[in-house]
Amino acid sequence: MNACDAHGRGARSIGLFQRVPVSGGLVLALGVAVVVGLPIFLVMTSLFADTHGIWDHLRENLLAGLLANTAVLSLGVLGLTAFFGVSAAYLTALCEFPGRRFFSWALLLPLAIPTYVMAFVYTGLLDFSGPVATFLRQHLPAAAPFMPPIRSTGGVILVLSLALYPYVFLLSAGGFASQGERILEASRSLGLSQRHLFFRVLLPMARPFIFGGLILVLMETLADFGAVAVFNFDTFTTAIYKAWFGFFSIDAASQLASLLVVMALMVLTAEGWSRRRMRYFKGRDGRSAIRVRLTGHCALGATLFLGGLFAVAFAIPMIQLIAWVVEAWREELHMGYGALFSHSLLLAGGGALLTLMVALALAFAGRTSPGWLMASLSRLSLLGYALPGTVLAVGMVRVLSGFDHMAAGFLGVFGVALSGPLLQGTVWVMPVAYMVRFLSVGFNAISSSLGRVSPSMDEAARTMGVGKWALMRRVHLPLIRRGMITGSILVFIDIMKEMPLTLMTRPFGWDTLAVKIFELTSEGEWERAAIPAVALVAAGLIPVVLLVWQKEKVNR
Amino acid sequence: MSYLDVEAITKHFGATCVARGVGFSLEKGDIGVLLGPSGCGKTTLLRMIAGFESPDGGAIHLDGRALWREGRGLAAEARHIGMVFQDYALFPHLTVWENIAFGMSGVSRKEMKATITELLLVTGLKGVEKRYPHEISGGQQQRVALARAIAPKPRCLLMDEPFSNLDVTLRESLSAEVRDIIKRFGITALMVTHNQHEAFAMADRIGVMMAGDILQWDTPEGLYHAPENLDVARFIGEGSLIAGTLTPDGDVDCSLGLFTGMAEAEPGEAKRVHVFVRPEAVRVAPSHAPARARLEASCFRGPGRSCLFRLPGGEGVKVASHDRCGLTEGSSYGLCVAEEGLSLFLEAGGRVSR
Repeated sequence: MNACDAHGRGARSIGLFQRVPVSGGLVLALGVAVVVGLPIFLVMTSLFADTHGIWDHLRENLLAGLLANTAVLSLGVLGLTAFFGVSAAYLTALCEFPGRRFFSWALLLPLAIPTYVMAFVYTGLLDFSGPVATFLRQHLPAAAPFMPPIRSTGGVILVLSLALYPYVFLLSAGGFASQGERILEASRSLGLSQRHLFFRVLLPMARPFIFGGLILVLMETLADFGAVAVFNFDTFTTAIYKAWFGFFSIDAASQLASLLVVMALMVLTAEGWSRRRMRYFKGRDGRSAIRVRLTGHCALGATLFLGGLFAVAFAIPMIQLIAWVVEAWREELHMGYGALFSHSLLLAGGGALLTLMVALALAFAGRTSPGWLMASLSRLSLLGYALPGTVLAVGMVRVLSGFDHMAAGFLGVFGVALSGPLLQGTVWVMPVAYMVRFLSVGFNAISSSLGRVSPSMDEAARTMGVGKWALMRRVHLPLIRRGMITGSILVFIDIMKEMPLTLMTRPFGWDTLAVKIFELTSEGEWERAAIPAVALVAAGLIPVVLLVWQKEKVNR
Repeated sequence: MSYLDVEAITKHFGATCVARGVGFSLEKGDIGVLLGPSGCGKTTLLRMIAGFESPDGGAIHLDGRALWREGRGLAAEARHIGMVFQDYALFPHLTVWENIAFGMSGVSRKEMKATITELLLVTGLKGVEKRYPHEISGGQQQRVALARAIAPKPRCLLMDEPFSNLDVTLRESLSAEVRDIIKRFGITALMVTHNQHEAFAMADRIGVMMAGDILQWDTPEGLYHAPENLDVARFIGEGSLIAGTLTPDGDVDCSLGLFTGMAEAEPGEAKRVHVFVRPEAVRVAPSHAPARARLEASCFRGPGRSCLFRLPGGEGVKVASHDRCGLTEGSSYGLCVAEEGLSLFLEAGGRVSR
């Protein structure tokens, strides 16, 4: 440091951190990547593990059915969400008819209803013993036999599509809206009619966006546990749960999970590809197209169609839920909901806090030490969002039991015997599991607001003699505060709604709202499940309202 | 040693060399400008002085203190150098006042208030100090960035293409204004730009930079009238190149005529040279002029007319004509050249001195 001292006291060397390629940020990102990657890795290794005949049993009796169910479910949901989402997006983005403004945000509201809530509302409503079927039997006995059963493949597909179509709607509406007026005028001047315009220009240009929405739908469908469980429709997620809690075979569960991981990673690759494509299709000229004014039958048809979609996807389920709550209110309220609520809030709070801190650290690490290594580490760290909760639960349990095993062996050397597992099945690991699952939600919110702080702002602060920590305190944190708040709200609510991961990693007796819904719906107690469900939907409305606000602000 | 001394700086990014032994020096209170096409390494050089990049070799001294020497240097935050960024980098969460106050530490509240008030007055920002950056115009943002960089009383001010985000009319008026402000505070400043009009409006000294090297470090006048090599001549202003022959007596023969005593007599063979003519050194003259050329194109420029003449040999000559009377395209005219407006360059590009 002699040469440096010559430059005066308090001088710091910038030569120093050039010579050390490994920075603190890199080490930190590596740690996060290990925590996220280890469960995935352990699940993947069991793809080829030998599990004494259980696997053979699964393969002979289950696998074909699971694959067929998954394929039928995925294709059906993709088709139906594409139809609902694209038609709603086209009508609200490029046409004008009575109620358009209302539908452009109201059709997003079903995002607030978790798939499993949608599922149990419709099974309760349309089941043989439900109000609709009962009404038909009493007043229109002739029509009753023709009512299709809700507990069918078609029923699951319909219910999942009603809950998931907003993803396609949201993205493709953005795709349609970003096509500038200029390009539509150009197409018209080249002699395209309105119908040709849709199929030859509008649809192809919005295709990457539609595709992006459909991929989100596919991810959610593959990961869905609660809704298919309500319908007793066997997919990989329910099979994993049953393998574990039915056969008590973590190995069989892992093997099923590893197959699901392969599928999820394939979908993830497709997602990255579609996101790259979307960039080229972003319209450049700012003015959005003038809407085509629908008249007469067309306008009426559009209003009725979207009104019907809104009724079926949001209004009817909400009315039914509230009706049930009113019915079950009195006898249910003293049944210990306080504990459910406090458990849910505690877990969501702890999980959101941890996620926020890790996301912050990761975002800052990425800013201070960029490079390909950092980029791939943070991509690995964000993998959790593509993984179904059941898979992650299996992976976490494998990591924790491995750790407990090692800890017991280590302590045994010193003659210390443990009375039970050190980590597995404790509350403390649940925030970590949630962090792994939802890190990308928090990270995206923070890094997008941090991305708006240009590197030259950092440099400007440094030329004015402001060091690293003061820079963070005086510039970065104030600027990303909004992103931090949004990120934690989103993560908080995602955790509240999360079902399979909670169900499979919680300590015995730690019931949350989502877990309670699972238990009550598996016994067919719809009315009682409605109370926690309404609480979850109310919480879920917060991010949807935020989203709608943001959308309106952009449109203006 | 000068106030700011940059010696033999080298810098590579991978295989590309962005500085090959660059050096220059700036006296206290002077404004220097690094002028060059994009990608010539001028911004990197500025960032090395600021401390955001480390040179591979060379030394930088400011006011007798080493900023960089023998592979080590001060961190950017310890250099006391102010910087105005191309995108201004104003803090969006702070008001104009808070932005300017950002870097002022170790100053009493009273003194801070006095400094900022003075800066607001000088930069014409009085009245907007409570607004946020997005609530003021681009020109105002630019002046806030300048005031913020000056406020901590830096030893030196660096400006990276400070006018490039402004529209052309604003650029001209603002560059004169910025020069006044810098001069008023007696700040030594170094600016980077690719626009020679800005450079001429701002600079006491200009360095023309190309491919990681400063070709000439000179006053604006020196640069324009006595370019040291062909690249500088071509880059600065306008002009025409005519092939000519330099005789051992020091006379030059070219299609614009014979010019005597253009170089020192040097025994040996005649040499091929490039004759470089500024448009304003050529006058459209009566027909007995030594050279005749056909007017190929002419374009009205307000103060005069910018004409392109074609010599019989096929070479083109740009002429700035101030005659009010019209010239006819396609007709032949006589051309008369003022000797002092000529520069001679050898085939290799070096200047032939008189």
